[in-house]
Amino acid sequence: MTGLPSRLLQTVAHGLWAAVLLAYLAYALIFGIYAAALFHFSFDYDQGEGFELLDAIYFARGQWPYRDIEAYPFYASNYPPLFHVLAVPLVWIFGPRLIAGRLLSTAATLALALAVGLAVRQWTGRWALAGWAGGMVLASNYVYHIGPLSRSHVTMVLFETLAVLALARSTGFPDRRALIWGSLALMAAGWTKQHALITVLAVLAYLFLRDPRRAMGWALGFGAANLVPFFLVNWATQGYWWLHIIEANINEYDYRQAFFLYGQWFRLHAVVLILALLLVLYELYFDRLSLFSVWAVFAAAGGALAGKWGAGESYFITAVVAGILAAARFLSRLEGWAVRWPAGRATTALVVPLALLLQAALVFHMPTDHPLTRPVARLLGLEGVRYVDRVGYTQLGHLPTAEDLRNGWKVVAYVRSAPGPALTEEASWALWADKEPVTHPTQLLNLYKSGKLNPEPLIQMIREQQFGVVVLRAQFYPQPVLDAIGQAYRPIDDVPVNGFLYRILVPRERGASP
Amino acid sequence: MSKRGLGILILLGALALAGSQALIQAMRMGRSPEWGPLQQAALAVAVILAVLAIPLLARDGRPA
Repeated sequence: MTGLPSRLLQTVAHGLWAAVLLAYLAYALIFGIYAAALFHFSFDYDQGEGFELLDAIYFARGQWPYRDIEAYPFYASNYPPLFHVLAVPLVWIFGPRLIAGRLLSTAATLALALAVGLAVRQWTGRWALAGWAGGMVLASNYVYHIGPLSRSHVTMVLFETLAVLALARSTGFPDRRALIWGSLALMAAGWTKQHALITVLAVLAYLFLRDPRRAMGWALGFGAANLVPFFLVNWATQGYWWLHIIEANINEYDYRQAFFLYGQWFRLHAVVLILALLLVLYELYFDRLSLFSVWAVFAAAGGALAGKWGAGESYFITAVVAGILAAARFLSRLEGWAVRWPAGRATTALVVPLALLLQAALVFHMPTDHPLTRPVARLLGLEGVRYVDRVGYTQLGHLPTAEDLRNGWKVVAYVRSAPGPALTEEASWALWADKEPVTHPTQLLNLYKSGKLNPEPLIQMIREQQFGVVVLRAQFYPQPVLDAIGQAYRPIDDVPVNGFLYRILVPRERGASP
Repeated sequence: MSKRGLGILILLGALALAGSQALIQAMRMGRSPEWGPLQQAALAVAVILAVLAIPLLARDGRPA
């Protein structure tokens, strides 16, 4: 920004950049408020959080979570192990509590923002742009929603990003050191979540552009390094690894869901995505394609997988981070070109921070019921709404209330006082009641729909009323399981927790009609 | 790889994408003559890829 034509312009530009940093700092603060609120909320906030914790508990016990789902406790995991293995020490420290997974994912999210910011600082030498890039990671609605949850997704994106940053250090084919570190980070991403395959393909395409022969050699080596442990785990789990990681994840596809999420992703991140697109087009026609351009294109295409049943906005987080890195790269180039003439310098000095402020407005989200955000909400006329988000309707992002917590303990009391095992649709109820979590509803449903599950052993236990209590939320079980629950159990209470109604059911009296 | 090589690869990809959709449509003939939304989207992507690839086909020896 130095060397601007007038002192006034320079002052305005500095003011705009200060506003940019303030806006994105505010989003980082909002992220912190949300994360802290979740650390204090003891129960599942998002469907499936408890199951990712349960995987870590299995590993802490020295057991595989890839097991026979047709036998008691009818549980199996559908994710690779790395996130859950990393959570094991936290399970030892905190016990079988969701805070273990939430702390790990929050740390991964902050590390992701830091890695992006430091990379941009290294390219541009500018702290302001670096601050924006790191802040934009935390400001993205998708990262905000999912980052502090006990979920593996953002940890996968962190490893993907570290891989790309390691491999992109030189403009030519990566040297041996970069290849080793990049491949290890990429491997870690794949062993955290299957979706990392998109980034593996992006890296392969980039290496192929640089040197097709060496790229093929890398692909063979990388494939072998992953396939050997893959088949070893499959052998160690008697084939259940393949069933649960691969076959159970082949679900029906709804193009409308994919189209809707593509539209939403663009609407929320329009400035970032337009800048990223400009970098791709510039490098495609006027320069060599960087890994950042290739990654952004593949990650955007990979968003199409969000149409799968059970997928959602998280499938776009890789595309958001790739977009931010590509956008920052384009901005640094733009400022480099503009420096050559005064009018260009003046224009970019004003337009770039204004565009980044517009981006801040596009991702607007804020819980309004926190002491730190309440005055802002009052100023913006948002009183009476617990949470505002440019996404529109969302089940994530709001802060749980004291009443949610009280009602959560009420559900735990039902589970604890019931005799025998409890069939709970979420794991945390059973964990707090010191009972073994039973069933993984979506995994049972996926396998049932693809004809790979015999639900009879579970149905038999339900018919025999071996569960002292049943706790349902979304009723994601296979239909015959839900029918059996309806015939053998009767509802006694509906408890609202965190915006959802938890239905408590106890065994019907023998001979009583449903 | 050269820009031209990349252009040819993108063009082949676009042709494969469009061809696969045409094949799917041919197989569906008689049941549903209209192109589905997913097919239309795939076709649109194929056209965009082809348009992007054309300027790269010039033989100028630049690396991709």
